[in-house]
Amino acid sequence: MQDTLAKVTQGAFKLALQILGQTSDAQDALQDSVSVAIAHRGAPNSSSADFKPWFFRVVRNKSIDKLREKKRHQTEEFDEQVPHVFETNLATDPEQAAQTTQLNQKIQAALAVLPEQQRELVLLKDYHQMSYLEIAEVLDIPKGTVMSGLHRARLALKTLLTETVGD
Amino acid sequence: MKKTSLCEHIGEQLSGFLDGELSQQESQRVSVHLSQCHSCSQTYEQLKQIQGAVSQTYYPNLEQQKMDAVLQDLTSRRMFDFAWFAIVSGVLISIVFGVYHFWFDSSIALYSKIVMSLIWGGGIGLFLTVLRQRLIISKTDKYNKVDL
Ligand SMILES: [Zn+2]
Repeated sequence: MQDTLAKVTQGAFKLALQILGQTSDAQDALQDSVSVAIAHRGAPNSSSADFKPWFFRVVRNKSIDKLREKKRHQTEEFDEQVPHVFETNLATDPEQAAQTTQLNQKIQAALAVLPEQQRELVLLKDYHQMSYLEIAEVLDIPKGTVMSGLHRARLALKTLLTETVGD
Repeated sequence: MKKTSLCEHIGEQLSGFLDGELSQQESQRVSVHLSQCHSCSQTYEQLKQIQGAVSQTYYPNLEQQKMDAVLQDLTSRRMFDFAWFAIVSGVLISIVFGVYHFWFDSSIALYSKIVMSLIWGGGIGLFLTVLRQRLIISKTDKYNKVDL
């Protein structure tokens, strides 16, 4: 499957959004990552299949840096409560709110409760449609642990979803 | 059929099967088990549904205008690097030619060749120092700090 650069960068933006929860922060993280892609000599060519996992890894690292930076800033200055990641999206983006179905909200809420790595595994596989090998590269973990981690994450998600549905 | 030790053995391979990441042998084994085990095939169907729902989850695109701005930065950065490269190579070429012409120009006295060489050598030395500092800055700059 041939990904165009535009498709990869939009996907990467969503990855940053999934980590950071705010459009402007995600845009900043993407911007920083694009700069890395330009400056880094070892970067794969943007038209090659290797580019997507490489770039996603950069975007993930930048997003996590940004998240840490924000958290540090908040605890130093004042203890302002940050509204929850996914709720922020829903509230501030009317287009998204309109398109968000009930199931959608349920899934996002359940994802938000998962431990960070489980959420990442599920999103990289099922939302970003990456292979186990690519996921291992993005998260910098051995390929062998992707399947077990992902399965655990899905079972946790299943429990959360069936609990709320009361099924 | 109740849950058996085989069910536990299959375990995470249900996900591998769902994602098409198993070897042919493994996936055959899972497929046979699914046809025989109600409990596992129910779990499998639920996982499949969740996968479908997650893949349909909505996250907004970055507005085209903003995306263009982000990628624009990519272009301007590339131009910035190119401009630096052009300046440095232009200066180097003119130095080489200048030195060549100057030293082989018989109408200039030897002492003025030496004096001019000192002045120019000093100037070039300063230029290289600045260039070196810039390179050090660009190496330690935060964008290059990608541990890959
Ligand atoms: Zn079974």
